[in-house]
Amino acid sequence: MLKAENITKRYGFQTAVDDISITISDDSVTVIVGESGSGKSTLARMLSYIERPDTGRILLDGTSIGRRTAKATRRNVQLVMQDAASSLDPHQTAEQVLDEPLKLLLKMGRPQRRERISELTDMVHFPRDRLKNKVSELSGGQQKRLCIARALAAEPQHIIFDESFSGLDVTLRKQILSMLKELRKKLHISFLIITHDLDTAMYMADRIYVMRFGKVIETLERPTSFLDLKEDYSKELVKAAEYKRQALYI
Amino acid sequence: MLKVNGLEITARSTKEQLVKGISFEVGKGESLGLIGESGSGKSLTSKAIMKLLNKRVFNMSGSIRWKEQEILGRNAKLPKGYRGRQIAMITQNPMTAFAPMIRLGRQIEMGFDVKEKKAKQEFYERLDIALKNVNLPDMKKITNSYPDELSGGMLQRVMIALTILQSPELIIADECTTAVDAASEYMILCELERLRKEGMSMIVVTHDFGVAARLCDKVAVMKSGSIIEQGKTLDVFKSPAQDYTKQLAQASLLFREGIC
Repeated sequence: MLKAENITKRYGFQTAVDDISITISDDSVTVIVGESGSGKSTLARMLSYIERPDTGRILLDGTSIGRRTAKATRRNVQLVMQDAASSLDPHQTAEQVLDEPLKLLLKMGRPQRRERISELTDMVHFPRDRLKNKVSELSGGQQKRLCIARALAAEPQHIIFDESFSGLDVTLRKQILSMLKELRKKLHISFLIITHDLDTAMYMADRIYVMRFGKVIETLERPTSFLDLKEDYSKELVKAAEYKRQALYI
Repeated sequence: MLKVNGLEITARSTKEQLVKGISFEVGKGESLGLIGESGSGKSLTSKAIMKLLNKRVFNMSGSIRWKEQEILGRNAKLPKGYRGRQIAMITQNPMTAFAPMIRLGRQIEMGFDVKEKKAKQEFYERLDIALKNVNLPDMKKITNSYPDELSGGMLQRVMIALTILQSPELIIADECTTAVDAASEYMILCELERLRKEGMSMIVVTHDFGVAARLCDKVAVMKSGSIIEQGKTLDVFKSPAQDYTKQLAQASLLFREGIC
């Protein structure tokens, strides 16, 4: 279980995250929804210990994450960024990308690594014959899959997706999201998905947090309908999501 | 108004045919949606209409007629104000659309060629309203900043406001809401819908059926360079003839329970 207790983060005079407490339970999908600039990404960076909170603490399975426990955290909490192309080294081949965490974090031998790599590529439906290709030669969807495979390689408990699906076209988004649903059932990992798209949120979530101006304004357990959202601001988000859908149902 | 007939685009280096003889028509006040996944040739088509493709890289054949005048041929001349006053395009990547070393305010002024003090004042009042319509309430902040100080979504909205301010006869919107968040997308779509009701023609390039349903009377579904289905938006969405269209329609709405 990954837990944030009353964390605050300021940049100069701006408060990006303001006294937030959230819980990400094991084997579940948590979604954080909010507009750009509401502090979602800052929260994700703090949960994966890339940045430290000014006040408050982050607990992984009951132990507070500090400088000493940071290394274990990084393995257990993986972050998948928005832009796949810029979070991968363009000179590495796909195989090298997956090889690195296995070698450095799990200290596997070469034959084991080779086996694990083909397992990972099958998991995310990455075509095996493209393993020898450079990252820059892969398509956008393949790069995204590779990023997810790299996160899975470390055998984490939690994976955080920071707007990972927003630039994708709709067919690809659907493919990747349903792949993730499948993976979660198989591997019992918990996902934290950060998005501004309510459609994605409702499709995936066990629990939804709505954020605005650095605060959590609404929490929703096991959402079944857009109507479950009660706050004024959440309703506005619903209106925005419904706007496109209504046109298709007239 | 715009007639595209048998447009073919080939890459000169690989001889690969990227757009395979597509034809469509956009009349006055009409709005057409080009739908398809990435890499299906939607953006190439819209760039070809704007004549933004490099002739040394791409070989184009077929015909594009704007107000009965051929645009594509070897000796074709572009009418005055073709790009801008007649057809304006909202490009996909807002980061590369602005000059990085000039403040946005000055860049915008340059484009509209306002010199006198009075005209300038008037122009900025109009700009203020246009920016407010796309969810950017603070004009001073925008005009005083350099492009890299704003986020991608904000720049996209600035670009949309500028396009609207130009009041062209045809707008080509190339994936214009992909980079922005849901609340801003809503405002942009509302604004574009308002313009459409006022009788502006549009070509909306998108991969989202929801956007197309809001903005377009008819859609053309593209796959690997050719148009595989064409018709009224809701007809295509509700009873798609091709399997690919069906997939696309299903992927546009992930969450089906609840209200609908």
